[in-house]
Amino acid sequence: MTAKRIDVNVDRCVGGGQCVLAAPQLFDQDDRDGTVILLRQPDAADIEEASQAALVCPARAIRLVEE
Amino acid sequence: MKSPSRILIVGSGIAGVTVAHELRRHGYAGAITLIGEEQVDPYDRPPLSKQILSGAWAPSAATIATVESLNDLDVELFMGTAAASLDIKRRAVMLNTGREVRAEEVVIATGSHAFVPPGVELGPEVVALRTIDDSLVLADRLRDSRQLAVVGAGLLGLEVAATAHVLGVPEVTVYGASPPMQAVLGAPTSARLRTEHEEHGVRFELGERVTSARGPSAGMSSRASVHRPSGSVDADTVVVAVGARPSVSWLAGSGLPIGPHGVPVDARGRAVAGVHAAGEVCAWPDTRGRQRRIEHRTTASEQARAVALDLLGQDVRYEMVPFWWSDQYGIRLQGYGATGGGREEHVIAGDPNGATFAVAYGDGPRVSGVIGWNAAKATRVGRALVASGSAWPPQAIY
Repeated sequence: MTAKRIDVNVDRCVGGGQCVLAAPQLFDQDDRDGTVILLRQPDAADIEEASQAALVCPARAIRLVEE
Repeated sequence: MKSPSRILIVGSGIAGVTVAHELRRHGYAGAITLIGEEQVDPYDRPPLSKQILSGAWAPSAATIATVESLNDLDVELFMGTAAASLDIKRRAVMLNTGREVRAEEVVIATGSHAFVPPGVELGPEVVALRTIDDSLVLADRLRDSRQLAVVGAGLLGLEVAATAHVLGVPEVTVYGASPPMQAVLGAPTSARLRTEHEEHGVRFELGERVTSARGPSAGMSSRASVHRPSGSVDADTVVVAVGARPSVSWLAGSGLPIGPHGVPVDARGRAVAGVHAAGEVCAWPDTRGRQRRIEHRTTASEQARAVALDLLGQDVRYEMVPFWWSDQYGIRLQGYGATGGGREEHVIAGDPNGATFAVAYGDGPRVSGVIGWNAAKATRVGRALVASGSAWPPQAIY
């Protein structure tokens, strides 16, 4: 299985914080405008939660891409 | 539980497309058919009153999925095709092309449509905003409009007003029966939002219903007009944004129970045996078990995910905590749960007169909702108060 990495597009982000709810170990929000901060790339163990974060992002600012 | 051999999804908005995506992501190998009324690639609606209307984004930036990407997922597509009727016993959907599609499971995701009050005549000058085409046509009109009348002071009307201001429309007036977003924000935050709009030159005419709106009429007026009991005004363009209604007319005669808030479902999205619903067409139970029809994008995708998981036999109930956001003049408003509506209010972060704050709302002994004004993190933290039904009044977050 190929590794996957998270690609975030801060320009699209609306600061909904849904990614932090889905995967708090991978995402945080900027204190000022709430936009996404990627804490680290996912391990194999985080992939389901990373996919969940991509799914629930209301701005489609988070994608999982093949490395 | 055995997976169904064919799943038919009616509706190609975020709910319908998310059901298809989630089924495949979780390994569903059976047949999926997706019916979409519009002849364009499925798209997201939140940008229609913001980035698409302002021109900041190309239309393709709102695309959720393309014909190609859905073909890659082996989804059979009927785009530009509407469902005309449903037979719940046979799980058969008749299309407006005369063709019938049958499946083991049907997912209703037909969303909602703009409510057009009696007396309002839509036309080139008097428009509702629902589709990407509506947004692009309106964007074109606003370039040449000096006066815009927005009927409705809810989230959509206010976003249109803010975007029109950004586009340089000199005179923007919002007509509302109630103050801006008061039903959701409560009186103090509504007043604050009104001030922000007024500081940008947007005017409000409140407390009176619009009885009619119409385009130019021969011998009467060369422009569109808005009529209220107290008088009439002309405008170059009128946007009607007074709410939406669930798109259920095709379900008449199906035997499916339909309420004023659409198709009632349980926390797995089940309507009746073999029929699920997700998104704005349905009323889904919240954390207190109250079935509510929610017109917000995030909620639609979460409901769709729950439906997909239920179709695959996973035992997951989705206890809905509705989330919405709105961007107006760079102010980021967000909310969770049930807010406004005369509920008690309690500031949980910041200063309601300052640059950033969050407010919790109480329903008797518990927190029912929270909103944030440029307070994304505090709002998200406040969600937990709603989800857990924290005791009222809540403690401050920051």
